[in-house]
Amino acid sequence: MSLITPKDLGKPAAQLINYDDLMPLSAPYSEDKGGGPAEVKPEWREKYCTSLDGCVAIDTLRQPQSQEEREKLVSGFLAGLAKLFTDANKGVRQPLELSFEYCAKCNTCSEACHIFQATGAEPHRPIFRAEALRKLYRKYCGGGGPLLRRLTAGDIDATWELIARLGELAYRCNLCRRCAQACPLGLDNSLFAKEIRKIFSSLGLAPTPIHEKGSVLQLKVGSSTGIGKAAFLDMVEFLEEDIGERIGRPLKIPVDKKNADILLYHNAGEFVAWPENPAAYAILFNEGGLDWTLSSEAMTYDSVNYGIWYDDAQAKKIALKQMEAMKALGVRRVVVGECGHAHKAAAVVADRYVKAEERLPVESSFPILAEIVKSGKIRFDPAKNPFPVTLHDPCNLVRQMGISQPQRDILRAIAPGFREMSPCGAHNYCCGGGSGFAIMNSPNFGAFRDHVSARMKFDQILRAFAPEMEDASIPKYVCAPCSNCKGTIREFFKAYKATARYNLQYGGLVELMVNAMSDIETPYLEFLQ
Amino acid sequence: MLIGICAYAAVGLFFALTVRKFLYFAKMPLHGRMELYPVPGEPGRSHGGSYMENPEWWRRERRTDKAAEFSEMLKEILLIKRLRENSRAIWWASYPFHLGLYLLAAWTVLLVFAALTGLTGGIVFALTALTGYGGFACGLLGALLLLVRRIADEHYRVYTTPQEFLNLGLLIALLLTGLCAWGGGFAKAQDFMGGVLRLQAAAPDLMTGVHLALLFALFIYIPLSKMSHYVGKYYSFHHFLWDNAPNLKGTKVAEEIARGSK
Ligand code: SF4
Ligand code: SF4
Repeated sequence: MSLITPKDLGKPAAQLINYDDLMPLSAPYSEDKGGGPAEVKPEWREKYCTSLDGCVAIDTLRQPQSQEEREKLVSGFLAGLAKLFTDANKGVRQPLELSFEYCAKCNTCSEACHIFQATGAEPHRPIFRAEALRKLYRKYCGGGGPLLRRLTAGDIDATWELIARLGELAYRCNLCRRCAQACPLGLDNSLFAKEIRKIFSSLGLAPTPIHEKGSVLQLKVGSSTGIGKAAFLDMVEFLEEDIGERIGRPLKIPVDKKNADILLYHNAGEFVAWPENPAAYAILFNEGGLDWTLSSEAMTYDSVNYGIWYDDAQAKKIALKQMEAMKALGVRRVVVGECGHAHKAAAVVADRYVKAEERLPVESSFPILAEIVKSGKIRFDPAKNPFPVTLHDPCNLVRQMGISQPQRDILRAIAPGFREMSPCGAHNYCCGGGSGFAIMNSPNFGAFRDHVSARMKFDQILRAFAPEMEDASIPKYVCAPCSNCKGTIREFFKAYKATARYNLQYGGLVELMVNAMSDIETPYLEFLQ
Repeated sequence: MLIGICAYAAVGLFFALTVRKFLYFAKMPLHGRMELYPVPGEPGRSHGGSYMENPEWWRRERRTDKAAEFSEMLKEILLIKRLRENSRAIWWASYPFHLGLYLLAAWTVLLVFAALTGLTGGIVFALTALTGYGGFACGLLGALLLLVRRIADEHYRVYTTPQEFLNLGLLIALLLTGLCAWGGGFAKAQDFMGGVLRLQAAAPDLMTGVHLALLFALFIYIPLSKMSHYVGKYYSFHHFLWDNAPNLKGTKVAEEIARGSK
């Protein structure tokens, strides 16, 4: 088969790539060849753009019904493209222009990308979408005559098919930036995926789970879960009772405490999917003697900011509203719970949005937790965590914020079976759910995530637990201190029946800490109960 | 005289256009934080950590290790470290090519030294021969390997634009003509450099003329093209991947934001 080139994105074909020969997995899954997202229903082909790989990420992008609709997408995209290097895009202009201009096409980044490594599919090569975008820009926005266009390979035709596939392709990159770590010129191909997403979003085309049911809902209700204040307070009350019973002592979770030192800022999805996580925080922060509170005010009980994955304007709107609401609480500092992208959004992305004095300091909870362990304020008995444990490094938290040691210090103190994945720390691979994939499921995107983008992570886990892997009597715990990573791991464990067959378990860091607390008798981790 | 004037003009333009490129990126508005770890300027955190690994990090004095940053950059410039670690096969082509250019830069400095001091023999001549032959050989070998890889391997070929092929072609032509023009013995190059510096260079033979025309043209073309990645690389590392300066009161970043550049 001839190599797929960026120009081929415009080629008439029912499906450009498939996933029937994926990277082999380690034992006991070595027979798995992938097969990828098996089902592409005919009605999906009629409705969405399935012609890249059969999967649909942008469910709001529909097959055009008229020539006018075709032209609307193309002209809208090109108009967005023309603004790439203007001050309207100043938050990213310099890195973007550097990455656009200086790529040496050395392909070093390809080796670093888990999606390209998992598939070997040319369109997943990190420079593929960058090159498609360069060609489009040079042809339609670059100026110069036909000779310059020829010289710079501005030779790609902007058709509906090409733009639509490029839009889908922008959602086959986790924005994990591992490729940028490897680049000898310090360039970042994830920027192009993000820019394509931004242009699509400006045309009203973004995946429903991250825009309509994410950012829009959050700005309207105060949380992307759709949970309002009353429901949030109910949930906290339920948690106090339920977990209090489980640990055999009353659990008090402070909410809306005036002038507290710390506002603990959770991804609200935790309360819904893994309530034992915020409960574990409450136990540790209470016993650690911290002056802290949760807040029930809109925007302050949900730390997520999906805007950072697809639309800078949405990201800024959410971050500013969050900051404003948090300042009104009178707390001294904001401490982010186990959510990687929320860490980055609040502490790094939003850092330069407003003047220094208009911001509350934001920090991660991991250094605080490590101090609690070090201080001896809480007694831990590592023997209570006798099973193998490995640590996943959420990209936003580790590669993009440099917070990696505190988690390790904690694990070394409370989990004797801790072993690193390979590679680990700042060079670890993405879980496969980064940049929204964790919550994108319909119509069939979940299959791409579970089998393709998460493949490398699953293999790392299998390798980390190789000695005990096939002994189902031994629980094997993947510590994933991030809501989105946990969600992804949950889904691919399900897809591979990894828990049922091999007793692979996953969860956060704080649950493991509470499980090791000397004065709590019943195991905190559900799989030990 | 004409050759001397052209030489001064080409070198002058090279530096002027390079400075212009630096200024072009320097004047861009402050971008959002997009650091990527490991950041070498983080003291004591070679594991890829940052100041944010401390509780209440904003209350501590922020220390940066400029020497570590400088040494990392030096390794990148002199050894092309990232390529070596992540793509050894390409490094075997790219490294001799870059090494060749560095040696030729040293060779040029030695020619100027000889012309200015009149010290042309002994150690100066030996070093001139070493850097000259070494430079042309390494440069040519590397550039040819890069070209062959780009042509033979379709995973490189499809992404390489005609301009990028042209750039490589121009560099190979420059090195080849240079080797033909000066390779017979570098005394001629020393003499010629003296003439150029005093604006009294004799009319060159055909091969030397072609080589000089290419050289002067490339001096002007390089800072205008993506071959100016020596500028890009500075910004992409120092101002993009390694810029983790927080927006705290009294810092340069805070001042810039207050001035409204963000
Ligand atoms: S590693 Fe950098 S320079 Fe090389 S192809 Fe990738 S982005 Fe381009
Ligand atoms: S950001 Fe991550 S997923 Fe995207 S191209 Fe780079 S390595 Fe691959």
